[in-house]
Amino acid sequence: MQDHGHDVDAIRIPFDRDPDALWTQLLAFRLTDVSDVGDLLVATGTPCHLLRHPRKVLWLTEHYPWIDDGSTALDSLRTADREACGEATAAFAVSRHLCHRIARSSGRAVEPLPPPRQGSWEPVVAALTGGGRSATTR
Amino acid sequence: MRIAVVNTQVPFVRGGAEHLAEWLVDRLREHGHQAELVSLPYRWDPPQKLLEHALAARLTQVSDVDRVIAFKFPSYYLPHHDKVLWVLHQLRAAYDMLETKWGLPDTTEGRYIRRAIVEADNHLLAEARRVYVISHVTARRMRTFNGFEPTVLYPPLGDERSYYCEAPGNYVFFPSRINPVKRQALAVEAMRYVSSDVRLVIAGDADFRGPDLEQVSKLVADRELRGRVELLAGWLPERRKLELLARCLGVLFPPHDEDFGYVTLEGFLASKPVITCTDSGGPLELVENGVSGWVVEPDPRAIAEAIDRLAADRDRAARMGVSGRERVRALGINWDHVVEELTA
Repeated sequence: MQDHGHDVDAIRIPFDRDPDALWTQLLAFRLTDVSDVGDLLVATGTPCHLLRHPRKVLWLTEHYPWIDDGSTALDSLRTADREACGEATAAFAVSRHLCHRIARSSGRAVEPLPPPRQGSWEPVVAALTGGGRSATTR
Repeated sequence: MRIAVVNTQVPFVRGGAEHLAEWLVDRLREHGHQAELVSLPYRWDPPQKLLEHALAARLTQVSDVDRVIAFKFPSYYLPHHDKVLWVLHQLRAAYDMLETKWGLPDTTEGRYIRRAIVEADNHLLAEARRVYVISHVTARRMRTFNGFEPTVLYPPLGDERSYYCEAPGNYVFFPSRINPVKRQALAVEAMRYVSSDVRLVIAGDADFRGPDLEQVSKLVADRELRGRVELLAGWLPERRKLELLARCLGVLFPPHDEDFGYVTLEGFLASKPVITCTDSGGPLELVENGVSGWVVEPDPRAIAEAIDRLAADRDRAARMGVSGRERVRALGINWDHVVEELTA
């Protein structure tokens, strides 16, 4: 993104996988206010997708990977996912499997947008900064 | 040891604290520790947000590490059984700056927020294994406001080995962010009274780009000092800064009530004497008047006199610079010492 002339800052918020601390941590992410920071927020993982921003784009590389597909623990995250994904202006994930999983949990369609193995990042940057336009040029 | 270094982050703002955190992570790794930098995004405006972010910090968990090292409010609210604090500053708007225009508002809500923060600080400072602060200035505040006695651990510079000294030129150097607290205007005013032909070189980024820089630049023009004051505004390449330091006659650093003040340390590492003021705070802990620099009243004439003294006896000025470098060594301001303390 910097190569494309954007001013970018990375935020690394700690997150612990301890299941007993899950809900308080989700609340912490919700309380963290970055709503007027920058023109665009790109969230790349869960639960960063819970951060609030008027222009939030999801490009998720994971969705609570330590929780099994179809487990009841995953069910309990539906409400949070519905909120987090519903308020995003665009939602992408890096694989089809991940798209299905997040779509099932959140009720929102998620488009696949894989990172380039090599070569051009342009379609990714265009998709993420394009205000929700789909990444069709893969 | 697995160590999480936790800092507070205001996205897109980078200052001394951000550098210090990154340097610390590098040095911890050099010493064989597994260290990782994490940050808690933070905003202070409107003031209600302070409590939300303090609560968020308290609800955050980092259990898979042996130690947490935390820096600034509210990063030290993060709970952990083995937490060491190295506090750069507390929320100054609730403490020493309360009565100033930067303080929390004197409203029911403002007073409530302040009380909540002071009580949380009182409670949470005590849960840390050890509490360090970066200077006696910050130690005094913690003692006064929280009744808590921390240990002073001075912060070294990340690139302490890259400073050097060359033959002094004919200018004093003032490298610092340009804002009213650093008092570049006072330095400019002082140049009106300098009788030797020494020039002043001011270098630094202006906070919020604009008004502060314009003010200094206008002052230079109004006082007809263009030939004697050089203003290098904006980010200065590191190499250029080191060169300007290496070739200056001395460093001028007259801020108001600085927490620590890296500029003093930079001057001393380049073996240069430092001129600072009696109300400058942190620099007073390093500069010994007449030995490694001059400590004068925050008055243009007094500062001018100190500059003239450096020019009048250049050998003495050089010897003072060497004393400054020796002072840094004597105070143990180096990373080996910091890593040893923070991992003990």
